[in-house]
Amino acid sequence: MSNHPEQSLLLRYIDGELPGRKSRAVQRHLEACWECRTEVEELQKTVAECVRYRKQILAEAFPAPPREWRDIYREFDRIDAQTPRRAFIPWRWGLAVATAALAVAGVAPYAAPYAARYAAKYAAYHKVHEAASVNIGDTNSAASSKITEPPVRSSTESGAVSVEVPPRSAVPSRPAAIVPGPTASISDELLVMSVLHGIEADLGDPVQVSLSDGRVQVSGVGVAPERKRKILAALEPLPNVARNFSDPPLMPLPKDAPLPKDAPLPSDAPPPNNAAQPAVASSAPGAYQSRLEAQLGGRGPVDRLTAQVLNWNESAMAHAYALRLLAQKFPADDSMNEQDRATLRGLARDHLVALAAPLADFERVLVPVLTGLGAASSRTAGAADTWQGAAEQVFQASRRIEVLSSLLLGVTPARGGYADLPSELLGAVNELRADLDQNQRLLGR
Amino acid sequence: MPGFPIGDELVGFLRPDRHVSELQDRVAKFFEESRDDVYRYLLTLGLHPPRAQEAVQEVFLRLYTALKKGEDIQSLRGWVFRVAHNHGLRLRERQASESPFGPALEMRLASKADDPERALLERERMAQFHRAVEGLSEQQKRCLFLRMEGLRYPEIGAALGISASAVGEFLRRAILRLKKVRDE
Repeated sequence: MSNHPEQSLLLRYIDGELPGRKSRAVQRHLEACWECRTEVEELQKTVAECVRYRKQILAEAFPAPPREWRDIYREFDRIDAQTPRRAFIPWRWGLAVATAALAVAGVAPYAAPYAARYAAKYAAYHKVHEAASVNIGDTNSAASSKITEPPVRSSTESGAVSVEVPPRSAVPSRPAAIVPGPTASISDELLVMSVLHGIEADLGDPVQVSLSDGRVQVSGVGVAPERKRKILAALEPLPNVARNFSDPPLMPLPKDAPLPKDAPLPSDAPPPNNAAQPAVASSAPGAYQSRLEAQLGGRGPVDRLTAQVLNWNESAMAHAYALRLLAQKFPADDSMNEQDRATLRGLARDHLVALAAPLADFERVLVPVLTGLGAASSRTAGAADTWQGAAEQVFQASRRIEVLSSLLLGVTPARGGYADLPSELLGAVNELRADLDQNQRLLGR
Repeated sequence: MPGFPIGDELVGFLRPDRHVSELQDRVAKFFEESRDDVYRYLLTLGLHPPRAQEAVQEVFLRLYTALKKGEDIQSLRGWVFRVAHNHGLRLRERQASESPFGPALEMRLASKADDPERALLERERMAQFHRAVEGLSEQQKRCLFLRMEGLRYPEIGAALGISASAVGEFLRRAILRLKKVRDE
């Protein structure tokens, strides 16, 4: 190993997660390299700090369990009592003896007892279940299957491939007021949105703006205290604004409430009928990761690319969400006065400009990698005749990039087959470029 | 996956009580050793203490059921934390309207240092570290907490539904951010 190992490699080394050969190569490098040895010592110090944190905070400062632990043996007995016990039936002896005899005769695989077959079937189910239960990875989203690091968004955000925000009917925009008055108008609402945009509170904070009861209602549930202070301070000078910030109320569900429709089954639930469905199609993304390693020169560069792509996706999706929200909130802006329309379109343009930065990074870094994997694509922009329609396309293309790149890089486990992942991803990047240009043109009208 | 070895049906049938009793002892011992760790992990997920305690017991009963059914579990700790993580998140989803548990830990921090000045500094340092941990992304936190509990990358990946290399990346980011705080 002549070059200095990546930091991620060093961390995997001290965590004992490297295969033997690679681990020995890192060890040899460390023996010779002061710089990397110091880096490892620094990592170890931070790890030691984590250990102290676990001991001093997690173990001591967290409250102790509020009650005595239940007698677990009694619970075991309860489970045993519920499990149907095998009665003494003479034919079972015969079956057991026959099973043993078959085992001796070397035909055990064909005569495996029911329990073993069930256990094997259960394991197969469990693997599928594991692959399918990614939706629980992100506690900030209702059903996230992606493992990017999104900013905190509202609970409507979903990491699943389809992110459904309740559709809004394409009603004309509300009549605009010429000047802000004692009753809040759309101008006040846009002013509030501009102020929130100025402190980036439209990029993931669970804050909603609406117009009702003659006031602009700014509501937020579960906003972090520090953030809430900043938002309230920014809103302070604005007229006709009602601020409704709260923590979610305590409302436990009945103990036996049914699980949500998409919730994963309990781990001891019987396997569903379709448990044998393959979780990963033949074009397993793992194969792409090996090819990426070969193309980029090892795991380190792939990890670095992964980190970059995660960052770009995070930035792109934050602005794509915000842009889409504007488009849904104001599905038509013809009836607005000049100033309001300019404000609204200015906000939309800001998000497009911000989105163009990660897109340029995708084009500069990711596209050559995809081409190296043999990707080819000629996707074009979707047909939209309003900037709001184009905004939706921008969102969908951004979402496709996020999902496909996560699959390609192994950040998200695959749930379905993709015939040609690199080409699909390249197509999504091209599509986003075309949609973004189209959106900018439509906004410029 | 071996499940019940061949002939185990016969042995289990002949000596069911002993088989059950050994399994109970095994899980009970593991429960005693690990329950506090799992309980704390569930608190970090945002479960309130009574619910976290209930969930811990539920997880170990599931472990007992799984082993009783013959499930081959390579790492009991990895299994328990994976199931605890999934079960904890499911509880949180089912009670989405409830505010997550977030105690003012900084107020509870106590330093063991004799020197009051040192104790104050130590307390401040830990509080700063705690704030930095709180500032990590959800995935970084999950990976970090599970790693602190001794889980290996593939086990963490299995719990969170991500690849082991993604776990490595999240941990690297987390450690890097915490290192910055430590250096400040």
